[in-house]
Amino acid sequence: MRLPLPLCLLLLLPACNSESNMTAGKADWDSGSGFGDTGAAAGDASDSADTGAPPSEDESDYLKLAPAATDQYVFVANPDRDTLTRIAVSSLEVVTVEVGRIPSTVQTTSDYRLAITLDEGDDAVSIVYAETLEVFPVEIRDNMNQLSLSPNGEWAMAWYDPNAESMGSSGGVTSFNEVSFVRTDPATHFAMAVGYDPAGVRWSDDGTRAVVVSDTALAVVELAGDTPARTIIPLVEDDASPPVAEEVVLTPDGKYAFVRQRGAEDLLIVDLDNGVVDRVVVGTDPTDMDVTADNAFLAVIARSARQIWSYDLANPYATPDVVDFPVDLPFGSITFTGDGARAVLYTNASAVDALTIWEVGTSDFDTRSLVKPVASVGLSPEGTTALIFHTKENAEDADSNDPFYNKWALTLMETASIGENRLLLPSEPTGYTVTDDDRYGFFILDGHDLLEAVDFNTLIPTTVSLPSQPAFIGTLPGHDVAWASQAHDLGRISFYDATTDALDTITGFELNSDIEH
Amino acid sequence: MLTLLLFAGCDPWDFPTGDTRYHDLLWDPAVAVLSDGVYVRLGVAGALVRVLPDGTWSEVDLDGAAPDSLLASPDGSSVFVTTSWEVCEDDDPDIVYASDCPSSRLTTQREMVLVRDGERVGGGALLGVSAALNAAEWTADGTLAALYLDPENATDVQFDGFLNLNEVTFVDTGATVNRVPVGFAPESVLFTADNRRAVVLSRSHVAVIDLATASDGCDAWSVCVTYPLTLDSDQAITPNDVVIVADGRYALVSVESSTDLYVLDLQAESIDLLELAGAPSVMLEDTVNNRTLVAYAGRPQIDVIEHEFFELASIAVEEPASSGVMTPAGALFYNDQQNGYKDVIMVDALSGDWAEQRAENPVIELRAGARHAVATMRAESASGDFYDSHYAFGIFTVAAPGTEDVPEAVTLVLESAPVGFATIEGDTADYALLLLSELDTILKVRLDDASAVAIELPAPPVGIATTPDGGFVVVQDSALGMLSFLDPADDAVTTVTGFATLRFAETPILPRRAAAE
Amino acid sequence: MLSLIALALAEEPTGSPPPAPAAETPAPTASETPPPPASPAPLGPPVVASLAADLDSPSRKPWEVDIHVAGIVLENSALGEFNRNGATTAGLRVGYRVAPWITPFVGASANGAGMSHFVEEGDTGDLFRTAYYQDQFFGGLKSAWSPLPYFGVYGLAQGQLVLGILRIDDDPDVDDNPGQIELEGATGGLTAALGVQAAAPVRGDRVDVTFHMEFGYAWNAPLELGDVATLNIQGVFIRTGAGARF
Repeated sequence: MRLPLPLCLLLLLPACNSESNMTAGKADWDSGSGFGDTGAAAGDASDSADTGAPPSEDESDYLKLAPAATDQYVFVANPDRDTLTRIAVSSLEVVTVEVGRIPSTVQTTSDYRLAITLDEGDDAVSIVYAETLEVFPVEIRDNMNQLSLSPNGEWAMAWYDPNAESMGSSGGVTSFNEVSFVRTDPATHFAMAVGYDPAGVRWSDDGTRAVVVSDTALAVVELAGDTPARTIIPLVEDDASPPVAEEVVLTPDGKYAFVRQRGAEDLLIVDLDNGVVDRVVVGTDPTDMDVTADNAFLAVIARSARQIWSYDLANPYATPDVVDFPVDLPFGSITFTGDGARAVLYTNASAVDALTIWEVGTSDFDTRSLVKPVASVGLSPEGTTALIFHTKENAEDADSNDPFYNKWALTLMETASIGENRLLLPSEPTGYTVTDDDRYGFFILDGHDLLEAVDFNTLIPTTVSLPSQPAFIGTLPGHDVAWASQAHDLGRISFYDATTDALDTITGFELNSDIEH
Repeated sequence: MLTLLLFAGCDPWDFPTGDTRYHDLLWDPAVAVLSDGVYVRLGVAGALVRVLPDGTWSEVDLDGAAPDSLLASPDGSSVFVTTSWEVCEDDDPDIVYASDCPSSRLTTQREMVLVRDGERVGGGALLGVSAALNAAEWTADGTLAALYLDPENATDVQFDGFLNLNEVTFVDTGATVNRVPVGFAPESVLFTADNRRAVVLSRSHVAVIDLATASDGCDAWSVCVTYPLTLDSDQAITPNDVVIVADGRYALVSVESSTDLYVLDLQAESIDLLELAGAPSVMLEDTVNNRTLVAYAGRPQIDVIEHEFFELASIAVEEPASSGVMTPAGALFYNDQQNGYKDVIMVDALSGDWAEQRAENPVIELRAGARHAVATMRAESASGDFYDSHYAFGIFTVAAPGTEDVPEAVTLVLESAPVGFATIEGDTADYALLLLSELDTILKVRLDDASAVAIELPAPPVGIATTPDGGFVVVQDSALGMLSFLDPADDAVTTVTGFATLRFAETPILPRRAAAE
Repeated sequence: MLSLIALALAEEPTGSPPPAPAAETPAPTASETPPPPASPAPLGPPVVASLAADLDSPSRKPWEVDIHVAGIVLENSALGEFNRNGATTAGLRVGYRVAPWITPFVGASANGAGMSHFVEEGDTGDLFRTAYYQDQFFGGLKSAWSPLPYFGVYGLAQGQLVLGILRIDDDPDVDDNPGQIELEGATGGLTAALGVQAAAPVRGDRVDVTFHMEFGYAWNAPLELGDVATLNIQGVFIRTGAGARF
């Protein structure tokens, strides 16, 4: 019954939808953490009611206290004991090290060398070598409560988000313009002032450029040199009430940034090298944008216009390709499949019990009716299977005698064929993840000590009992194994191997922080 | 003799008795059986005598102190003796007896000595060892003992001033003392199989002490690692049972009234918790199959825990078990707490197979050897059927589950209540020595065919113990002290009596020893 | 004095029995021949001296045989575990007056008593019995002075050999049980006493019946009875008895 896992790669799944409380999971990061479209889940709902416009689509927001992983270990931060616990997945060996006070989050670099904690109590980050557990603390600016890592793991950025919960405060000055860049090796801190109220950071694929996003400006930070060099590019002329920069996407080469502003009828294209901001036309009410898997195109959903606008990322100023929706439905979200062949269009801003699957590059759509409106959509890595999480609320024309009426539900849907499995759920899903081999998906439910494992080949779920209620869920890269951290006073995490139906649990790892040697 | 002339014709043992006198016990039947003799505490005389199988006995010189308790080593090499003596602070030479000393000036001093071969090791007291320590644990080779205060048996403990319970005292065969502060009051001490470390348990903590040889990062005779059992200092976690498995790599600690099983990795210094089906009643280590078996008094289930990944496999049986013993054929479980359960279950930890034999009556005590297991059984009710209304002795075959043609269990009905039994495993046959209350015989039962011979005793027995050389000592019902040494080779019995008469008639004088420093 | 007498009933005497009072020499009787005319006899001491000399003459009933009972108050309670602290002794003393005032004597006495012991706690036997027996063999010198016919006082000194036997039995209801323990010991000592004696002639003055009472102190070296007890048998005693002188 043991997991034969000589090497395990854990994928951290980002974000919790604060409105639907859904943790979205994918095999890899879409565009970094903390801000932006994960393409699958909803995040904080932005209320546009005051403008009279339809509400924005819910975007993902990354979840604090979620474990992080490398190819061999799972790291769990213990803010109550100022420690970081490393669990070796193959042997379940537990080692705990002391980091700074109140480590509110832990993330791992993509090369799995480092785990980095944000120690809110000390206003520092701790750089921890995954293998040796050497800890290198670096002081940063006061009261930062968010952290993001560059794709190459060479840099980390911390900033203050007033809308996010802070777990500790040093009582020092809180700046709404400062960010802290930390080079991981050697551990060095660089503070800088960027635009007002930074909302996040976008990294170029090679990690040499970071773009700090705020509503009023983009701060372009060059990271290739010894010292980061910052250039601020204003996005608006009126700083007093700038439109919210809801979404920012960088071109793969990092030269351009596309900015979607709430309520705007156009897109901003920012030349990051030259600091030039242009506007391009986009359909009415752009609500979401996503990059194709081959990084060739940026697709923007114009919800009110019922259109998809595609921009060539190699030539952003070229005329976009516009495709109309097949139906007159207010789809506002778009997610591309991993193979880039299709994209799923849906909306979670209104009670629409349908979605459509677009054959990318064509005008072909496959519109499918759903049992209930959509809360969020997840896709397997290749996109062959979609996990459609439904709202408890019903569509306007819903039949009260329908078994899904006023119930939570999940639809497993094959995107390339008509196969699907509609599941009635006992409670709200609180998280999901998928394996990177396109084989399995896992999700957890509120108030239930279980994990559901879905075989994408058969669309049949298997219920796995857990010792206690899961809080977070993720998968191990390279293996069909999901981990689920659970609510337990002393710390508990389970590992489930879907191929062998084997469950391993380690409990009490937080006790390890109090072991005295 | 003139006496004979005066009383010619009378039986000299027909005493005229016109008076009576009331006494406390002249001797303590809780003897210490060592390889060099049986040590008996004489309470009235305040003396310790050593009784030898050749019928002689001699007093152990305690320098005027009286023995209060005995703690014998399991291998019979030595015994710890707590002693006390009275000191009169008044030096008046006319004060001879304790009753002569003013009560306000009479104090009691205590010390602990180690006795071997009829003498105090080192010629005196064990320096620095408190006489209040009432529990001892020995290494397997008998070279080192850990002394501590067992709070469950501490109601009669006497001490002066204060008592420091937060330490463990180690004493080796040469009477060298090492006191190790552990920071909490120990309740149990175990040694690892290699005798290099001691595991000390208390409420909410487990400490590992490096003994004579220092290890990496640890000094000899010091606490190397302390494991917490809880993170809440207000919560008391009381260890119930502990086994050290996998060649001393792990300590499995069960906790009172809890389903948690703490797995302490003594090498990697980590803690994991396993959730059991209930509070375990007994844990047995199967060293052959590298597994631990757990039984529950309230649940008909045996759990098998392997020692590599601590995965748990459950075996459903028909009746709950409250006790168990390891045999070469597997783990033998039985219930000695509830009358309604009489199954004696043999479990194969590797295959999970199990086989049951049925005891006719509820089991009092069971012991197992390589071929047979024997158990004393109590009468269930005076008004029940023949078996129910009598005490019984059960003979069970030790055989692995699945063995064919296993003989049925044999039940011998007993005339009176059993007061003790011992087993003999010979080359060709196995025997049990069974003692019954109020009967002046030892029943030597051949286990192969349940035949028995009676070995006469001069007085009814009250207990039996095994000597280190394979003989037996029977403690018998005599006010003046009576021990019978039984040689199992020829069933010869040598009785020694009268050793409790030593100075029982004399009023002890003050030993005139100085007060302990 | 009265208390000593009372205790003597229950105490173990270890001193040697008092010597028999010196045999009284019979008073001269009137002869058949008329006495010669005597000048008036002188009064006073010479008659008495002559009478006393007759009384103490070795030729007048030199043998003394007495039987007696006695009791002793021990100075410690060593015997308290075996019986009451002391017991009645019975004995015999024989003396022969070899010279005026001096009568060597020899004798022997014995006593024995037992006690039951109940063990109040535990389950290893609830009863055992103990008994202590003692024999004494003694010899010494007695010196008597009889100021009156048939009454006198005396003093004596003796040495004694004491043999003690202690028996303990843990199962009195069974014969030959292993819990029968017997320990023996011997010791010796000295005794000194003062007494009074009285005599009455019988059988035509060939034998005197005597009565005596004496008080004294006996001392003995410690009597060791194995590892069980060491007895210090010494103390004041009172002895009384009757005998014959011939």
